[in-house]
This record gives sequence, C-alpha cells and structure tokens, in this order.
Amino acid sequence: MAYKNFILVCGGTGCESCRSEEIYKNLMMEAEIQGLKEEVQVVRTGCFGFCEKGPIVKVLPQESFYVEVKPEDAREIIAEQVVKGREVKRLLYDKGDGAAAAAAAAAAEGKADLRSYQKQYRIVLRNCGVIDPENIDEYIAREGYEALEKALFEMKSADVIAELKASGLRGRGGAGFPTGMKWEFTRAAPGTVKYVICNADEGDPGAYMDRATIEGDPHSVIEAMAICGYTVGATKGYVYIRAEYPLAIERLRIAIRQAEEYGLLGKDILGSGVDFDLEIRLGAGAFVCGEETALMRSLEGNRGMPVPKPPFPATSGLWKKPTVINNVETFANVPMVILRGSKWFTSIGTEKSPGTKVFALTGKINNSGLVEVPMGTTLREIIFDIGGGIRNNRKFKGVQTGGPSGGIIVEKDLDAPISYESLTALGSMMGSGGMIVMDEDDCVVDVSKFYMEFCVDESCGKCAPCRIGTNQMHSILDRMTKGSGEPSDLAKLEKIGQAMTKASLCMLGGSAANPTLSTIRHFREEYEEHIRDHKCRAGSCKTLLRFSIIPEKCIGCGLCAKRCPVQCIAGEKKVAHVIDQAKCIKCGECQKSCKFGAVVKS
Amino acid sequence: MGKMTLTQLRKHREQKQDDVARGKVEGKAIQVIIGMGTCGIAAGARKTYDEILRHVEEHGLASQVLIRQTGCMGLCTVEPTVEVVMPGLPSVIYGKMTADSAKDLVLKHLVGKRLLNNHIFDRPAVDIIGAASHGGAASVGATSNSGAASVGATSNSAAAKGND
Repeated sequence: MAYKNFILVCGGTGCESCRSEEIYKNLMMEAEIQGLKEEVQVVRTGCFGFCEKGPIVKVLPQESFYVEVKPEDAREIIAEQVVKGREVKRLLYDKGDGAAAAAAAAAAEGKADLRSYQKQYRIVLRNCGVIDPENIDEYIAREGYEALEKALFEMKSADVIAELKASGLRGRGGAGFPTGMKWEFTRAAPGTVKYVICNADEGDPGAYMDRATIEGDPHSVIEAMAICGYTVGATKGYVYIRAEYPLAIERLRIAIRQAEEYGLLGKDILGSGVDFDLEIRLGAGAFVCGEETALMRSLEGNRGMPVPKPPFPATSGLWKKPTVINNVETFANVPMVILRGSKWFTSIGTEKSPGTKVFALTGKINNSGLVEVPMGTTLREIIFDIGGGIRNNRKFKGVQTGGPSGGIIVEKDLDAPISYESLTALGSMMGSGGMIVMDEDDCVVDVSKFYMEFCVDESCGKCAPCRIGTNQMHSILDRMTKGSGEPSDLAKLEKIGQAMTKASLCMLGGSAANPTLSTIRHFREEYEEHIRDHKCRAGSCKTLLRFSIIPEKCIGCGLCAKRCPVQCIAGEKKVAHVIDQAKCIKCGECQKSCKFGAVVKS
Repeated sequence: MGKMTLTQLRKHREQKQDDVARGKVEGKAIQVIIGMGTCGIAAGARKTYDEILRHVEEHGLASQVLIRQTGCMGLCTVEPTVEVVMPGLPSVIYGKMTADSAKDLVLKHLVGKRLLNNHIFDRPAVDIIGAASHGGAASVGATSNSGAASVGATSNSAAAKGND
C-alpha cells in the first residue's frame, strides 16, 4: 500500500481560526466517500507562514499550493486532483500557467526567479539545513568552490572587482559600504603584504545570523576569503570569531582542514600559483571588538579598543598593512555573485540595496527563526507573513532593528521596504540583522534601559563621551523605571544622547543613544507617564506596579495567600483578603492564581 | 584524497552530483537529515538523533537508511527539525521532533510510508542551487538555474572530456 497523493492542511493558529480543521475533516470524508482512502493521505501540518492567504492546503508530490481554501472546496480537490490528476486552478496561489516558462525566461536573461509564494530567498543560507557542514564533498556537489575556480582561472583580479562593483553588494555587517570598492582600495594600496579578515564577532543581543551561517555552511566563507585573497593580493586570512561559539569554531576548523587537504587553501591552489592560508582567531566576546579597528587591535594581541579613522583598514589595517575586513554574511554572498554574475544579483532586492538580507527574528513573534529575504521586502511581510504575527494575539508595539545601535520601528512604518537607506530614514538602522519584536507588554523605557546597560558594560572606556554618557543615560533610565524620574530627565537624555552621537570615537558610543532617542520620539507619552504618574502602562516596570484585591470580588478562598511567596496576603476565611504593599515583591502570582478576577494590577 | 588540480576537482564534483542525482548517498536510498545547529542541539537534536538511530537499527533498516546532520534550517521555534528523503514519498521537513517522536518517525514514515500529522513545516525558500536539490521545489530552482549554471556546466564537461 502506498499513497499516490498527500494533502497537507495547515494547522497553524492563523489557519485554524479560519476553519482549517473543518477543511481537514472534509478532505478525509471526501476521500472516504469517493473511495480513495488508500490513494491519498490527508495530513495536518504546522504553520506554513503565509497566514494572510490562509487557510493553506498543499498537495504533494505535485507541490500544488492552494490559498484561501474553504471547507466546501474539499470535494473538488479530491475529485480533480486525486482522481483526475488535475490541479484546481482557481485555488492556486500562482494561477498563471507556464510557471516553468516564466522561470526559463528569467534564467535566459540571467535573472533570479522570485515568483515563489515563499517570501524568503536564500543566497547566504543556500546550504544551511541542506548540506552536512562537516563534509566538504557535499558543499562541492552544490556548486561549491566553482566560484573560486572561475576567479582563479577565468578572471583577472580586476574582473572580480568589476563584477562585485556591478553587483552592488554592500557590507552586511550593518554599515553597508560597497564591498567591491573595499576590495579595490586594498588591491590598489601599495605594499606586498596584505590581509583578509572575516569579522565573525557577532555581538548584538538576539542576533545569530553569522553563527548559523558558519555552523551550517563554513565553506562558503572560506571560498569567498580565498577569492578575496587572490583579488587583493593577500596570502593570509583570519577569521575572528568569538569563543562563545564553540560549534561554529569546531565546524570552521574541520572545514579549513578539509579545504587544505583538497588543495583549496594553502600553497598553489588548484595549480594556479596562488597561495592563501586561513587561520582562526578567537575573541573573548567584547562587543567593541566587532568594530573593525578594535577587532584588528585584538587580533594583533593588544587590548581591543578602536582607533580613529582614517586611515582606513584598506590602506593601514592589521599590523598597519592593507586589509580587507568583511562580515560573514558579506563573504557568504560572494561565491554566488561571482558564479551567477552581477546581473543575476541585481535582479534581487532594490536598486541601491541589491540582494538579500538575513535577519534573526526573535521576541514576541510566533515563528521566531532565521529568515533571508530580498531587500525591499517590508517589515510587515517579515513579521506577519513569515513570522506568523505576534504571540498570543497581543498587539504589536514595535520592532528593534540594529540591536543596541539601532532604533525602534513602529506600526505606521511597517510598510516601508527594507534597505540600508529606508531603515536609517526611519531612525533605526540595518545593523547586522537582529530583529526583536515587541508587543504591548513591553515597556519602552525598560527596553531602552536594557540596551543602555548593555552599552555601559561593553563600552571600552577609551573615549569620555561613550564611557560617561552611557553611564549617565543608564542611571536616568534606571530611576525612571523605579518611579524617581525628574521632569527635566527627558531633556537631559536627549542632550547627552546627542552629545554622545556626535563626539564618540567609534560607532559603539556613536549609536548607543539610538534606542533611547528613537523610543522617546515614538513613545514620549510613556516616558512622561513614568516620570509624572509613576506609571508603566505595559506593566513591566515592577517597582511601579501595584497589585490589589477588589473586596467585592474576593470570596476569601485563600488561594492567593497560599501562593504568595512572601506571605504578604492576609485575611480570614470567606472574608476579602488584603495585600501588604510594603512587603509585596510584585511577582503577580496572586493574580495568576485568582479564579474570580479579584486581583488587579495597576 | 590529497591535493587536487582543477580537472580533478571538477571530476570529483561531477561524481558527487551524479550520486545525488541518482538519489543515493553512500549507497543508501533513504536519508534522515537532522538539523544540528546550536539551536537544534539546544532543543534536543542529539537525543533525537540517537533515538532515530536506535529505532532504525531495531527495525533492521540500517542498511537502507543514512542518518545525516545538517546546519540550522532557520525554523528555530520548531527545533529539532528532521528532513526525510525517501523513494515513494515526497521529501518533507518535520519540526518539533523531540526524542519521543523518533519512534513515530521510524514506524509510520520509514516503515509505514505515511506522513506524520502535526509535524510538517514548509521549506522556507526555493533552492537556488539546481543540481543537488531534492523535493518538488527543485524543478523550479533547476530551471531557473540552468541558464546561469550553464557556464560552469559546460566547462565542467569539457574538462572531464579533456581528462579522458
């Protein structure tokens, strides 16, 4: 017995609320009525992440993707597809015929085919979750090291740079500097000793794109670095990665060893006469070492502190030699740009920001995970389609992009297409790709305090604006969350923030005020409530909370008193209980335990 | 294999691609691929791996089933993830495959040739690499790639011929 067809019915919460369970039952029933129980299996699945068009039904092995399916469509799906082998055209997401023709046309022009219902398009993550990262052969089978071959044997270094420049690939570490130009400057810089560095010092809270890329596809970075070495005339490369990524380090080690064994690294690569060696250097996890000048100081064995630019690394970098330093994600793009060409790459994304961007989607989101989308995708599509919306049907409040250097983006701006420029215009930044979603239970003052605390810890202390400014801003934010904010505090925050932004030596201090300044801009009222009314509307600043019992609703069952970890609730049996505010630690257990809604939070 | 020349590398790649195209990796027709990034491992992927291995052996399937690891697929909320590729069934990605689900996977999917309920998640994107992709989405990917990949492919076959 083997099934011919498999009908997948989306069982995600979004689809379920629009009757996917009924669809599932109807399909089972129809299969039975039409005598096809042995021919087709109906399967309930997890969320397919295309909730706006739900309920979703997908038929395998044909890959027919049906959207907005109704329970009464079940008969037709069974009768047409399972019996006659024909797709139900009116339900298809892509109703047009000739999908293959369109794909072929795109291919003929050397462009990418982006018409899939899937909003993700994976260039950087092309091998993640597909190959065994510890087996070089699996990478090689998937066009691995073909770009290196092409660069070494078919392209001059000037051709590689021309292709990269034409592709418009920009630094994915956050600043967005054109990669081709970086390589060109380094190539043109005088000197015979040059270096290539991969910045894998991923430090933003909630960001793990680079870790996943190295863990899932280490060879893509190695290949790109070898191409870079050939292009700029460097024979030595370093991957600077933080020691707290043990699995990524281990897989990178294995990958480097395998590449050396195959002669893809080392002396005379593939008989081309080109040499390139790669070494791993471990960072101790200081955030500032993600800043390129600090990273290079750390690589040299010194304390990781930034130095003023210029000179830029391209002319005077590691050990004062010309150096290319790119982020993991930037490198992972390079083999595909070389292999598929700039025309293909520029057909993805926007005019000024071609290609894709990987985001680590976390926070109060249903489908948290790693997503790679073409630039130009909107935040709304990422959060509500791919991400499946906000957890527990709470209300969306904002999304933090760019980590502690970025800002919050609110509901009204969600339809902006993502690019380096658009996010900066919205008062945030692209950053490395952390994307933390907040809902109505998150307090903006508390979140700002969290990021500022992070910056206080991570400031290297070299320049005064950052060292003193972050501390001052943190103490102001801290007292606001504890109900002792002063009326002049908001103005002070803004003034210190602006000074830090202007006067700090590197971008750590230069951007540390961004989360605070952007939340003040969008949620000034909430800040004022904290100062004036000692109130936190999100209910997350615990000191400002007050739990109390409504006497009329309390039946005196005593359950809350039993649950209270500090025994601060007292009362006779069957008589309304009272919370001793002086002793209360605001854990909220009493509210959770009360079955009568008598405990209120204010 | 030691250091390779350009021709050797191209030949090696062709051979590996042939293996994949014939649907057999290391001579086994069924592949169970477990997501073993940090997120997968943190969610218990190692235990899942061990349990699947145990049940595969118990059911005498060890000679047909290759259990492999891969990196993070990006479906972090539903880790551990397991992809199953076998003849006669569409390739699917299962999420939330804790060690308890291993027995179901082996009994129902590998032996019973049925898909498991409540565990299937969609592949997040089409595969842009044509040659080695599997599953239905590959057809689209393969077509769109053919143009771009032809450069490499042509030079590959030329090199292979030159080597003969």
